[in-house]
Amino acid sequence: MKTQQDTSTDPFAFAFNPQNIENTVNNAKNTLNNPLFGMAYANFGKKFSGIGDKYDSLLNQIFSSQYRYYFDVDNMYVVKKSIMTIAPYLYRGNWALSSEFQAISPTENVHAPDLYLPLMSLITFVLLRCLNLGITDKQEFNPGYIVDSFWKCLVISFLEVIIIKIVFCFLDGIRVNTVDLISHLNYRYCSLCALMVFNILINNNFFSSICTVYVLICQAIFVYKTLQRYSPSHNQSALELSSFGSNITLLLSLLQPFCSWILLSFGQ
Amino acid sequence: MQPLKNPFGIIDPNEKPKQYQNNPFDIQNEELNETIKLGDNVVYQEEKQLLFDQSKQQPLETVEDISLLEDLDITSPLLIKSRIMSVLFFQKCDSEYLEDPDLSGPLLIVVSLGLLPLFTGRVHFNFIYGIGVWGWLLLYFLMNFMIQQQGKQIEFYKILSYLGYGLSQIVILSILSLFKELNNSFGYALAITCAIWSTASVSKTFDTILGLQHRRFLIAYPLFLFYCTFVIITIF
Repeated sequence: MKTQQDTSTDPFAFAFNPQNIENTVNNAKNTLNNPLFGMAYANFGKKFSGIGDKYDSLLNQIFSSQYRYYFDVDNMYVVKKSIMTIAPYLYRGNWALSSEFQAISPTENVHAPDLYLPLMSLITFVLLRCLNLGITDKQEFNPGYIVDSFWKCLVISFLEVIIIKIVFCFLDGIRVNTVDLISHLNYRYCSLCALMVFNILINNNFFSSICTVYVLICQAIFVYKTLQRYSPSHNQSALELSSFGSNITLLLSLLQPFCSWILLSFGQ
Repeated sequence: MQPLKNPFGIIDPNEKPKQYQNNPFDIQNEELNETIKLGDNVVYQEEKQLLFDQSKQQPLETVEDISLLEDLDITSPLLIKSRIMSVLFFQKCDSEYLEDPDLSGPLLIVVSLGLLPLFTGRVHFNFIYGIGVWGWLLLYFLMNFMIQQQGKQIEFYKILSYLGYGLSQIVILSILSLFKELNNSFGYALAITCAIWSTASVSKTFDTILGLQHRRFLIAYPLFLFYCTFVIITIF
């Protein structure tokens, strides 16, 4: 009987032999005691711990940047702005801000852009459409409809923003912040929500079509008055293009009800 | 002439076989100059010594009859139950719940919200997961942008925990939907009540943390929309 097994014949030679364990332990101790290895491990540790700090500081930077002004809203602003989308003719005069390039909080000026109201009204519009479908056609609704509606709204809004941005790029002297443009063009969901509530409560095709036409006209007026502050007619250095500029804003404002009509008719 | 040997070798009962004489498994106690050999019944020997030496006797440790979960300090079932009750009945928020929220309760609630519609033949796990994750992310960014004015910040997992506990009212709605179809005016009223109930309890939690006065409705409205999506999935 052999007390040891030959390593040449032992299939498990890689496993620890009681005789060899001391060598491995000593080797490990040597590496850990070696100060160079210690520094290498410490550097690895710092790198891995630093990733969390960078991530944290990046989030802090995002949340305290100028984009926070787009969400600095209060109750009165939301009420006034939603009335403005439903009845823009009530707010006469110039819809201009005191300075175009400085971030203004919506609490100070009703005409300042924000992202809270468009986002909330978009989600409300999607949910109201699903509610409408669930009430009218019980069999047709499935939760995928929520996602479909949401994506359709996003795609149409995105295309609209791109078209208007391209047109403004071709016209000299017009510089619009993209996020401002996104906010200006997506206030229409607020009036579309009001339209959906009206459709759900009053199930009459005639009244709903009248309401739809009214809402689309209001959206056109809203966008026209908002984009007027960016048109060259207000810019004294580009007086030659002033009439062309106001025509362009009129055309671009017609794009908004067209996109809304696409949403309402081809969504379901 | 040598004496005759046993063909099997001379067997001396007192002689120990050679391989056990210097055993590497023997423990050598140098202080007392003794060895504990392999196969010795040490406990028996210790007990024998204690009979003669009363001063060395130590009191035996009593083994109490406590449950395994308490022994392992796992208090999740009780914690989940107490938190769900506090969310459902508008009880005072524990400071522990606000500072140290857990995710086991929300996980249980979300899984039950996915499993209950299976009884009616509806499989909505993907929508619950997708809407939950996207809603959580959007709410995280929205909340943090809105409260940045006051220099505060909420973390990812805290929002998830609060939102998850708020779904417990919707689990009640889905239980009711198993017994009665909710696609009528009574169902719509019940659904809106549940959504408002969830929103009120969760916005109360956010208010105690953030202390917002003039933006309470603005913070509550996105939460209401979040719970309305789950309600719509449940009733239709």
